[in-house]
Formats: sequence, structure tokens, C-alpha cells
Amino acid sequence: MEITCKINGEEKKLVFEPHEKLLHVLRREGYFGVKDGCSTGECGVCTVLVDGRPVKSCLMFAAQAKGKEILTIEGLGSDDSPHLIQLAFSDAGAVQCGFCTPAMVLSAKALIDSNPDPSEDDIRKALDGVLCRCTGYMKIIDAVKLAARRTLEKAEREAEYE
Amino acid sequence: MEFHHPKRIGDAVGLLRRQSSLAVAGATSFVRPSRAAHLVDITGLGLDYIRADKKTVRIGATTTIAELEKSEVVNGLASGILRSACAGLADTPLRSMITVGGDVSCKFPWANLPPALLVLDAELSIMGRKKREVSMDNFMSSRLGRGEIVKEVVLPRNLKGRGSFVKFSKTKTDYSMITVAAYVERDEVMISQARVAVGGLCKPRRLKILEKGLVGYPADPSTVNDAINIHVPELAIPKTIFASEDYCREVLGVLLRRTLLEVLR
Amino acid sequence: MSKNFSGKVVGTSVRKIDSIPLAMGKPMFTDDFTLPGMLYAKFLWSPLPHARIKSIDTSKAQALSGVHAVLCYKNVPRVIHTTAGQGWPEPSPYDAVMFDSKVRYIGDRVAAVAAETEEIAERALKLIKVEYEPLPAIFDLEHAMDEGMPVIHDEPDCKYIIPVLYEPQHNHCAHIDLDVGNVDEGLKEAEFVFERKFKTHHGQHCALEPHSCISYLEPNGRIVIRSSNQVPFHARRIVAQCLQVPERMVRVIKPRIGGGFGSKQEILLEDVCAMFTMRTKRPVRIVLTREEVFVSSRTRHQMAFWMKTGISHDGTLAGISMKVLSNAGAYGSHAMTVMSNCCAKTLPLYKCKNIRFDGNTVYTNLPQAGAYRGYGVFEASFPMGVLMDEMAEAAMMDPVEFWLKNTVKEGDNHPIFEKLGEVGKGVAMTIESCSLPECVEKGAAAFGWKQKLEECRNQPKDSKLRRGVGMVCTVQGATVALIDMASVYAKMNDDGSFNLLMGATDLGTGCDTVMSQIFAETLDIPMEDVIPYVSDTDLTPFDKGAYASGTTYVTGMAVLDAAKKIREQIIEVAAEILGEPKEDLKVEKKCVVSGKTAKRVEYTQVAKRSLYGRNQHQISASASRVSPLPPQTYAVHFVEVVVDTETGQVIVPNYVITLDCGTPINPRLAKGQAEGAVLNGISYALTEQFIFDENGRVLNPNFSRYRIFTTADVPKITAILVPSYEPTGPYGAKSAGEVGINGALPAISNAIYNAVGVRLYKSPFTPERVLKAIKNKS
Repeated sequence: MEITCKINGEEKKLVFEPHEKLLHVLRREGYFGVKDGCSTGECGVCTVLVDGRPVKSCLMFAAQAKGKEILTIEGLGSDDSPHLIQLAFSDAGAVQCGFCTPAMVLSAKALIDSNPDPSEDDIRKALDGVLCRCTGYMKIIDAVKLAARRTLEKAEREAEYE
Repeated sequence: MEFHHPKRIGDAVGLLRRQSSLAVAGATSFVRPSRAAHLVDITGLGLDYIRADKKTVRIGATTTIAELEKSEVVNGLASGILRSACAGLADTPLRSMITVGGDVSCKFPWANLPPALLVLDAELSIMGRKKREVSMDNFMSSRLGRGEIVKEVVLPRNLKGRGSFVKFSKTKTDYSMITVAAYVERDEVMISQARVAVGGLCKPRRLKILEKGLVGYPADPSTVNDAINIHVPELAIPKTIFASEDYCREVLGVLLRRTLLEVLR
Repeated sequence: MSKNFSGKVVGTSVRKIDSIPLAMGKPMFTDDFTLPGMLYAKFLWSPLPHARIKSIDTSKAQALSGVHAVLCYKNVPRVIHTTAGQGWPEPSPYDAVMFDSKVRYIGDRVAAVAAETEEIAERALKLIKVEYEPLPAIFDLEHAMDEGMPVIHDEPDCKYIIPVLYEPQHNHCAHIDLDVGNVDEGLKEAEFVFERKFKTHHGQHCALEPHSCISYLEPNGRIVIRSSNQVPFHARRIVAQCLQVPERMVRVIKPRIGGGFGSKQEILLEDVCAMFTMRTKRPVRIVLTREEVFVSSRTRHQMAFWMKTGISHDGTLAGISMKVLSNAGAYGSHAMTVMSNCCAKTLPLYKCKNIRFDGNTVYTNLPQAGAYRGYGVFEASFPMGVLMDEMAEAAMMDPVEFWLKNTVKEGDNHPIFEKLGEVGKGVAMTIESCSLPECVEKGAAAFGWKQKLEECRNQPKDSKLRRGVGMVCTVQGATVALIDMASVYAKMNDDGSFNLLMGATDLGTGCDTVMSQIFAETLDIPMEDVIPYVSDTDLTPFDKGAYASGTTYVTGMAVLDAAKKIREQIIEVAAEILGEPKEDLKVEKKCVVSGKTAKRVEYTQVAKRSLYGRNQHQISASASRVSPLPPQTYAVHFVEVVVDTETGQVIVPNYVITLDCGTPINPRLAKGQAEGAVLNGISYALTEQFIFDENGRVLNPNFSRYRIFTTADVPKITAILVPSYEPTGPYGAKSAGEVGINGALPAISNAIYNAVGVRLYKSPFTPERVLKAIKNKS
């Protein structure tokens, strides 16, 4: 079957079997940043944003992407200009093997977009769907705090110019 | 297999009445490849709403747990029992996928909403060939007919008492091993209304015999302890690979006591 | 004498080189790669714990449209080998073959199919008809060697290729013993003697990236393997061995690895993947499902310890007797070496003249154990850490004082160093870097040890939630001394940048970055001028791979050597350019400067001269280093627990670890290693658990039922680095990868004792176990 949706701001036509999950279709389309750690919704590294909400793409049917806006890690930042959150993860030492990083970054984005001044509890909750075995999460939590602070500072600077 | 995106409830019902047809909302229970001939996406039917009037709060079936958790009007009911149930349910991405209707209809033992809805004496509005209403209590021991889906959950707005929900699990985002929900109304001296539900160990259900040991009795710890000491040893505790029956029974007693003492405060 | 090193690049927390591309989701992992015509392979796993294959008929599977090859014992060469990624000659038994006519655990290999899609491969698996002759099975490690037990490895060709004791007819697959001083005498004179039994449990690494492998043929017929593998050079050797082709016909490339922790120090998929490529001439991909990773990859060794320790009247250790039984599961990968480290790399922490060690590893019909962070030291730190606490209590000393009194200091040596290493005989060593006392002191202060002890002592007797605190010291010796080797190759480019080619295996640990820091420091260049490339058996020189906490220490020294050689060559060319004697020249900020005349020439000028100008040659160097010693990294762990006395649930709100890894080349990366290791230890102690049924089937092979912590559960973990200076390491560095995991199990047991007065000697400390212990006490 075939549906259209938006992926990273681009109109896309996806062709797949009805039973297929979004994760496998995305990877087949070349979005390798969406990871497959378990395919059963238990590890979270397949997390993408659908209409701004974090969703485990290995559970969502590809067919359900119809008419939706999907954000994968590839849609965040560019080679010349990594996204503020990606930089914060790097600055804070939150990236070890990197396999969970795209899911963590997107989860952080969903949080900061809806809650610009998150507490540590808010951060812990927002990221509780993505497993990491390398970092012990400490620096990931630091990275999100850093990203939130920088996002606020950026917004303040931009407001000043207006 | 065919995948459908109906826009009207009537169409959805018609599709679901077909052979080998399953409703899909959050899709979180579709882990293994499905053998169904038809998958019917019910998230396009406009059933994600929370509406309150003077007497009731009506929650549409495809409202997500995340949306329910945020709702102020829902949180105002019975000491925020539903918010507790939502907060302890799975994890963040799953909470924005799992729907109220799904958590209620799938009848998994670990589902958090059913125990809370049971003690709030919720009613379900079911859409099918005919529309029907059923109490949460009856719903848990009956089945949806062919082509039927939960349309909305209806809660009474004027709840005078206090509610509490607790979940016991190995880690915070784990499946609930034991869930306990309680709703109690009391006056100065006596318990006038008590509804207690348990899940995790079993499909969520009310503990009606335990409730009988509370209603009409003094609202103090000894009533709670007596009721638990009499009824918990009688409960059938299903097997689990993680803990012995004795342990589960013991912790169930502890959780019941803590929850009931909390709502009697 | 310690001196702490502080450099321009070494000792600074520079950005991890690959962190931004990883944060951007660039396709850098094994499976982020497709090739035209790629086939997908799937395994058929054994449904029985122990059985002979009476017959196997793959004809229907072969005939299925889209299937290109089916492998089983009938059509692959029988090459007995070990899957353990270790140096040759491997110190693990040769007891595995690609496919056998016998299965030894539920999840063992039976056959495999390569087909055009995964779905076709799965359908083909169902068409393979296998008739089994079930055999009795044994699961209990304590009875595996009893008379009359079923023999798991009865094949005539299983063996070790080194001369060690091996008695597979008794399911006995490794043995080590050691005697130092006189334990019996020592304990006879002791004031207090403790005899205890401890037991640890099966756990798993849970790397988020499942085991993945892609193989394909080069036009000249060589087999290329691209794999999520910690040991590419061992993989090349062992795959060549299994395929019966010369090693030169095999190339192994290691892309980014999504975590390993020891689970990928194995040749787990590569042999079959490469065999399929050889047979079908097509690229082949194998990626294990999570369930397959849980069941059919590797686990931690389950161990049982029988301990006897004692203290003299003056509070010193009178003797340590450790008897350990380790459960290899169905095959003996790392069976001897993990068990050896229970003694070799654990006991040299303790000042004790009388030590006896008796270690045995046995086969059972359970999933295979293998290498896992901590590697024997993790397991043995449990009994030692708890006994030290018990002995401190008997001596009426604060545990902190007791540990300080009974652990080694700088300048000490230890009789075990020479007697035993990870592989056979060890190396005598004087401890030249040890900031353990300072680690203890700083950790206690940061944690608030004394204050918390007091608060716990004063908590109301009847409180349902009881707080407790516990601490332990731990150690991990780096490398397999005299065996582990690392080499690097570096060359200079026109613009004054350098390629640094290393066989070393970054698996998220950041060794690319750390090695670049060492290189940059030595040549006084910025990080961006170093282009590391890891790891490819054709292009990078040999490195043993990522294990035994060896990369910073050994590969780091090789990098230092290569950098120094390059420095010399640069100065020689600069001397020609400047017309000054090279003795007067030194490197400074990408230039060569004369100390006499202050004349300078930039690296890029040197490079261009050497490549294009005069006396043209490639400025380059290679260097190899063998680990001379196993220098010890130390860590001190402080943990706070809250025990719910009515449910037995244990929560850890707070954990402090102080770490001596010599000079931390990159402090932030070192702390990150410690924090990750600590959390792994905590969840292993409390919530991780393999549950087997009566046939050894894993009942919970998924993240839903095998619980590790999320951000919702993780305590506040504070890692503090306490540098020392290891003279044999690059800029004083030792390694830091493993020691952080070794403390949680004993420290949490001690903290639970502090909270509720019960000692737990069996892990995991599940709520049920804790509650039972509390009830038994009262």
C-alpha cells in the first residue's frame, strides 16, 4: 500500500506492506539514524517524533503515518550547523556508543518544545522510554539541562533583537 | 491484509464487523506480526477528547494516556487517582501512543487504568451495531461483540471521596506487577462507600468481599487491618515467574493497607 | 612517588571526536549499510537443552524460492575452535564447531538459512526437519561434576591448545589453583574466622545494538566482514580457521559499535556469515533479534564462592581462602580466564600473605557465558567486599579504616602478581601508582560517609523505610601482561595533519579520541590535526582489541612511541630546512623552533619539503607495544540505600565513586565510563535476572522482563577522579573501563546490612529475597 506523509519537512510517498512498522520502512528509505534495538517497543532507540510527540516507531504501523509529520534525527541540524541539542549532547559528554543518542535527542526536543524550563524530574520522565547502557544517564540528563538553558538564552537573545 | 483509515464511526464499525478484523489505535499491543485480514485505524474518528459537563467527565477512547495525564479536570477527580495511574503507566513515548480505550479494552493484567476506573465506578459507552452502556465492572467480565469498540469512558464528576492508586514493579517503567486502587467516602466516623480494585497479578477486578468489610465500619486503621487480614489470605493469587505466591500475597496486603490508610486520612 | 600529569591536550576533556556525527544519526554502524544483492541469514536454534541430532533434512528449505543456501553440520567443515576473541594460542577450550550434530542448550545453533528476504529465511527455517534424540541435561553448576552426570562435551576432538587441566568427561572445563604463604596456619592464629558461601547470577550486557554482521566478496575473491565486533584481528584469525582459508583471504572491518561490554569479544556470527558469502558469492547480513541476543549470545558467568577469611587481633588480614565454581554454560569461551581473574586481578588489592585459591569452571546445559565487564573481578569482589565489611565489624572498626589498613599502597608488591595473571603465570610488579587512600578519603568526604552513618544509626527503630550506607574498595588490573599487544601506524600529510591508523577498537569508549589526545600532546598540535582511523585488518596494524581495560594503557603507549618517532623525523627535516643542529630544535605549536636562534618552521613546510622538495620520503612511523605489567586501577564505592521493610524493595538514591586511573587522559570520558559501569552494577545487583525454566529455557529474553534502569530509576551518581601517575603508562595513564562496575554488588549488600541488619550473600537482591531475609532475622 501507499501513503503520503511529511518526513523532516519533505513530502514523502511511502510504499510498504500493510503489516509493516514505521521503523523498518524508515530504515529502508535510508533513515538509518532511526535505530532498531529490539523491534518490540521495549528499548526506545527507534523513537521518532510524530506531530511533535515521541513515538516508538517499531510499534507504530507505517500506515498510521498517513498525513502525519514525522521528525527523525536526520531532520535535526545540518553538517554545517548541528542542532543546539546535538551540540549540547556532545559538549556534556553524553555520547558514548551513540546508539541511543538519536532517540534521546529527539525525546529531549519534544520535552524542550513543550516545556522550555524543565526540572530534573521532568527531564528524567521525558527520557524514561529510551534505554542506555553506556552512560549511566548522568551526562545525558546534564546535556538536556544544558540544551534547555541554551534554548532559553537563545530565545532571550532573539527577543532582544525584535 | 488491508489497512483502513475510516473517518466515520459507522464506517469503522462496518469494517470491524468483517471477519478477522482488528481495531488499531496506539498499536502498542501489535508486537508480533499480525495475522488479521483487516487492520482498522480508529484514531481518525475524532474520539480524542475530554469533555466535562456538570455531572460527568467524558473521555474519548483514543485520548492518549499523555493527554489524560495532563487534564486538569480529570486530575480534580478523587484526589487525582487517574493522574497517578497515568504517571505510573509505561514510559513517555508509550504514554503518547497508548489510548484510554486500548488500555481498557485489551484487559492486560498490568493495565493501570482499569483498576482506577473500577473504583471510580466508570461507565463505558460502546459503539457497535447498536450503542450500549456498560459499567466498568461488567465490562471487565464480558467481551466486546464483533464490530464493537469503546467510544468513551464516562466518569461521575461529583465524587465526594478520596482515591489512591499505587503500582508495584521492579523498576519505574516496568509492567505493573501489582496494582491497587481504592476510592473511599466517609463521614466523621464511618466509611460510607468503599471500592477497592486490584490488578497486575490478575486481570483488574474489584475486591467486593473486602469492600463489604469496610462499608459501614469505623473509618480507622483497625477496620482496614481486619478487612485485609480476613480477605487477603483467601484471594487466589495467579502464578508469576518473578515471585512466589506467598510473596505476592504479602505485598498485596501491604499495598492494600497503605492505599486504604491513605484514602482514609 | 606520584606526580600528576597535566598537559595541553592530555588531561583535558576535549570533545569526543565522533560525538556530533553520532548525535546527528549518521550511518556509522554495521547495519547502516546495504549492498546490492544482499541476502539475509537467520538461524535455527535448538529447542532442547541436550540432544543428538538423529537426522536433519534441509531439502524443503533449500527448495523454497528465494533461498540461496542452508547450512548445518552436514555441509560445513568440522573445525573445532573457540569462539572467544583472545590472543593465540587461545586460553579457552576448543569445544565449538560452526554447526554440530549435537545441541547443548536451548538456543544452541542447529542450522542457518540465507535468503533474499528475512521473511523467506524465516519460512525456510520452519521447513527444516530435525529429529532429535534427547539426552539428560544438567543445569546446576554445583552438581555438574558429580559422578554419573550427563557429559556435555563428549566429542573426541575437544581440547585446549595450551597445556592445562581439562576434563570434559566430568564437565570440568577449567582449573586454576594457587597457594601463597600458609592459609591454614594464618587462620588458626586468627582472632575471628569467617566461613561463608556466596552466589552470583546470570546477567547480560544489554548493549543497545544487537550483534550484527555483513560479509561480502571483493572482486579478487577475498572475504570482507563488516561486524560489530570488539576483536577484529582475532575474528580474522578464527574465521579463517573455521572456513579453512588462509588468513590473507579474510578482511575484517569494524565500524562504530553500539556497545559491547564483552558480549562482542566473540566470534559469534562472523563465521556463518562469511561461510554463506563464500558459498553464495553474495553479500550476506546477519543481525540477531533482541530475543536471540538474550538467549544465544553470551551471558556473565554465574559463580558460587566458598570463602574462609580471618583477621588477627590487630585487625589485619590473617588469611584468604577462596574456592570458586564458575558456570560456563554449554561452551567454554573465557571459562578459564574469567575464573583466573577471581584471584589474579581481585586479590592483589588486599595486604595478605596467606592466600589460597581453588577455581573450577564447569559445563552445564545453559546459555553460554563469555567475557563481561569486570571479567571475574566483578564476581569475586562480591564475597571479598562483604567479608571485609564483616571483618571490619568484628574488629570494631569503621569499614573505611579497615579497608585503608588492609589494602595495598604505592610501593607495595604482591605475591599473586608473579604467580598468576589472566592467562597463566603472571608478572612480578611493584605498585607504582596508587591513590587508593586518597580515593577513600575523598569519596568518604564527598558522600558524607560519617554523617550518613550517624543518621542511619539514629533513624527511628520502627520506620518502615530504612536507610543504610555501605562502601567497598575495588580494583581491576589492566591487560593480559606480556601477551596483549597493540600497534599503530601514523603518517604526516601535506598540511601538517596526521593519519593515525590503529587496530584499537572503539566501542563507544572514546579510544579514538583518547589516542588522538596522546598523539596531539606529543607533537604539540591541536586535536583537529589528528585523523584517527580504526579498525580494519587490512589497513590498521594489529591490536588485540577492546578488552581487559587495555586500550588506554597499551595502545596509548604505542601511540606515544609512534608520535615520538615522528617527532624525531620532523625535527630532522626541520634541521635541514633551518640549517641548525637537531639538538637545538624542539616542537612547539605545530612548528619546529630553535632554542638558540628562535627561528621556526611550520609543520606544513616540513611536510611539503619531505613529500615534494628534497630527500623525499614519507614521514611516518609504526610502533608496537606489549603490555609489560597489569597496573591496577582502583575505585572506592559509597552507596546509600532505602529498604522498604514491608515489601523488601531496595532503592538506591545516591552513589559516589572515586577512581584512580592514573592520569585521566580525558576526564569527562573517564567519568562517563565510571558512571555507566556503576549503573550496570546497581541494576545487576537489584533488578537484572535471567529466569530459567526446568529445561534451561530463558523465560524472560526481552527488556520488558529483564529489567535495566531508565532515567526514571537512576540514582544520583557522582564520579570523582583522583589521579595518580603510572610510569609505565602513556603520560601516567592506566585504563578505566571496567573497575567501576565491581563495587555495586558488595556495597549494596553492605548497605542493606546497615539498614536492616541482614547480610545478603546471594544475588540479585530481589524484593522477595530481601523481605525473606528481614523476616528470618526477626
